[in-house]
Amino acid sequence: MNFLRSRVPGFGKFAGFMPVYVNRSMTAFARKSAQREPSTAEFSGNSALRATRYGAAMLAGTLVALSVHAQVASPPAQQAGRPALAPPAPLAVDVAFPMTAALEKNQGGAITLKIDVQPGHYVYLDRFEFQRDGEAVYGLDKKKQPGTKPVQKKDPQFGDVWVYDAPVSIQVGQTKAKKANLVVMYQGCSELAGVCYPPTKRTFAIKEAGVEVLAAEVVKPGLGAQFKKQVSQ
Amino acid sequence: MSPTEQAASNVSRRRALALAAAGLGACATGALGGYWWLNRDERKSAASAGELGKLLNASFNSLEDKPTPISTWRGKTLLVNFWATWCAPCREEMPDFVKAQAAYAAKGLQIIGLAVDRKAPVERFARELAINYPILMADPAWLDELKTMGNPQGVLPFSVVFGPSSDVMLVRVGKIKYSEISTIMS
Repeated sequence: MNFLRSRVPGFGKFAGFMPVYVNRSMTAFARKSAQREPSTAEFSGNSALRATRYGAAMLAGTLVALSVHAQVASPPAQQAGRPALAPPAPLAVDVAFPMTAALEKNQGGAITLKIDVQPGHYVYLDRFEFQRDGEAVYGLDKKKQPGTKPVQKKDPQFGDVWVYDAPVSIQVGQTKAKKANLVVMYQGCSELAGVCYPPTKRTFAIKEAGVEVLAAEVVKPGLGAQFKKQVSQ
Repeated sequence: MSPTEQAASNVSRRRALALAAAGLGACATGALGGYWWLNRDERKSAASAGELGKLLNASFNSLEDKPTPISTWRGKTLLVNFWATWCAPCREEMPDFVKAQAAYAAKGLQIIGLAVDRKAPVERFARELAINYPILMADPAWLDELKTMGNPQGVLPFSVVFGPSSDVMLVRVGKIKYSEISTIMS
């Protein structure tokens, strides 16, 4: 109970109020049943009343449990535009931002990085850093960057920032080589869970042009196959 | 109505009432079970309180590079908040922390900000926001430690509230609201 008191504003007051409410509703219910069936009430009044009381107490317990959960999970201030329950647990970073990289055959040897940014998530444009075969590649320029355009997001402290909040395809440099090693540093957040992921580094070993590869660090089996299916459809 | 009929009606009445009670009981069990299920994450957090104890024994460098053990504030209600300037939700909740520190310092609240970041942006942000509680620097390796403390993805903000006797009062992945701090302190 102390736990609930500390978690739920006004819980103590609410709990104190409940017995009065339960008593009144029980009495009213017992009175009604007595009026409807006088003979039954006469013979089994005690047991009927007891059973009714048990029932009412259980119903009250149900209501208390549900209302407490509703208050704990979704306080009124947070309800607008949010799911009814508490924010979802954050996804793993590789599930929130699944990535593949491929060396394009016909586009001057550019590496295409595809990020399947999940709904309710975003990555910062100016936090991207790339290294190709050990050398730093320029960051992303929101004006010159070919492919998916970033969107502006208001930040109370930093003003407008540019983010990708949907699946994105980014072109990283160009090369004549037939294979490449790409290191990507990025940073994103989950608007749904109200959290940010720390800066994350992913390495791609591209051995053949035209083949999408997963980051070396992604260990979840099945995810890569799933993502490949999504991008090829 | 003959006595036999009365007895029969009596029995069927009792049976109906027993059934109704059993039905209501099932409802209550279902609701409580649902409540238990929906709150399983909170319990998991509570279960890892042993891991959280590491925080109380840890020491972090201040912005002036002075090693500062968390035990400095033993006996207070401690709100330990991991944050970074690159984390928008972290920055959003900090003005509430400033307000809460001013309002509840006399009642024993001590907020401690642990920045997983570079020192320069942290100093700048702390100055801009006139932060009235200690900001210490946490090594990024702490993000891995947090994964065993009820924060499996190692995301920010992440806060733990310890009571004056070092009991874990709240573990939160995400923002804490001012009203929640008020409830804890009242």
